[in-house]
Amino acid sequence: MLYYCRKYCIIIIAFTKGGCILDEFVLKIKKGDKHAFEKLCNDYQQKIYSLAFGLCGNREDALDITQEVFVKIYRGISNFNGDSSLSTWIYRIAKNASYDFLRKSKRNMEEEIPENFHSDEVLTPEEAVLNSEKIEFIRHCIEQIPVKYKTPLLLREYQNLQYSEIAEILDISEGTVKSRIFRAREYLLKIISENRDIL
Amino acid sequence: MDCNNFKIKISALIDGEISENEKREIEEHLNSCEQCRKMRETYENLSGSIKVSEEKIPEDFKVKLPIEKRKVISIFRGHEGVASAIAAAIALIIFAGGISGDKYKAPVVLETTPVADARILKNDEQLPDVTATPETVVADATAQKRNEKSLPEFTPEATAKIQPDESTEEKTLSVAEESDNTALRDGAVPEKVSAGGGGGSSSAMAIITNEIDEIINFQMPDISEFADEGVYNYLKEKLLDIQRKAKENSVDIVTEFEELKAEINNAKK
Repeated sequence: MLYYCRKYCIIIIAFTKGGCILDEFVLKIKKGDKHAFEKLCNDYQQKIYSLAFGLCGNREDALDITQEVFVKIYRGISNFNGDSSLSTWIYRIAKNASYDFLRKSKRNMEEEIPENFHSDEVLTPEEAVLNSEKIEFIRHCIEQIPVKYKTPLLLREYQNLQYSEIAEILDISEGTVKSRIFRAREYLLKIISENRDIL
Repeated sequence: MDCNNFKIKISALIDGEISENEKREIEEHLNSCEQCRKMRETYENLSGSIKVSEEKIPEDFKVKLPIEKRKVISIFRGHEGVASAIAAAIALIIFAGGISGDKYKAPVVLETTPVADARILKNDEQLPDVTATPETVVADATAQKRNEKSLPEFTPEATAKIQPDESTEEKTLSVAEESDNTALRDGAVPEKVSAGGGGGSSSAMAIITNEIDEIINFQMPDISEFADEGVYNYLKEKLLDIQRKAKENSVDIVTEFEELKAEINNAKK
């Protein structure tokens, strides 16, 4: 009886705070359930790390960012009220932590790709196939994409997120996500075609 | 139709992010445009290449979380009243200990009591604290010395212990003599000492010299008690300097010594 009273109270509080109903898993983490938090770590560590690595391009820094993100999750989970999904909330923290790192490293965060940019040298479909032996090359090319465009591309390719989820994480419209991913692809094709000779 | 304008739709198409109507429209175009068909294939292959480049997290990666303070008192969860009571009790003990500790740490030999006070206090001779008159402490000192070989803390007993060895004049101090000779209570500087001469100041200097020994040996032996090694060395140097001045019996060191003692207490962690 007490259990149900408590459960409904939490639901009412969630609604009055303007948030959504928090699922059982999130409630467990909020209550300090160690196993639930471990599961969250297992579910998200690869996702956070690959995003951080894609954005900062360095293993050590990506590991530091990943640690930092989990500390922020741990400390901030009590304030998570379900306004967005847990996944969106976590990716937003990861994106912000990576951006903070890039700003501290004095990277240019405002670099733009022109509105009507199109790669002049079109790669053949075969040339766009870069297998595992060419990983470092493709990473080197990805690194050169301006951050603003690279982030939605990585969220799409590495995390397999939908445009609507990416839009929520980055706080931009779905149309902007669609446009930025397209421009990031065009830019990447241009960089690959310019560096084909070093392949 | 401009194929460049179609590229953005092809990009969204491979992500599965277009409506059914758009999809039909694009497929119609793709059937008639080889360049765009190749473009779609290039985008698909590029997407595969990016996915291959995803860096895997090291297998030995472990999330390290900071130890939160609230975990330490988690045993009191639901019993915050008990925790508060214990905290209050500890605070009280520390506070009371601080006050009495300061009294105890106050060197008895410098608490030479004026006559009026001494007479009142004489009735409480048994009290082992600073309310005991100097002669009581001196009288007890020999017996205490036998029982206590060394004291880790600076206590009245420890101070008293060193008195009999120094001067027979101190052993025979009477209440009347006290008022005539040294009156160093609460750091008050007796005229004779201030003047830097006379038999009374000589004994006061000897007392201070001994007290400095006591501080160096019992109060400052462990450098780890101090927040800063430099401060420790500086204070020790200063103590030795005062001790040297006391031995030379030339200048007023009482006030300087009192200030230094306060400085030492502040410098401790």
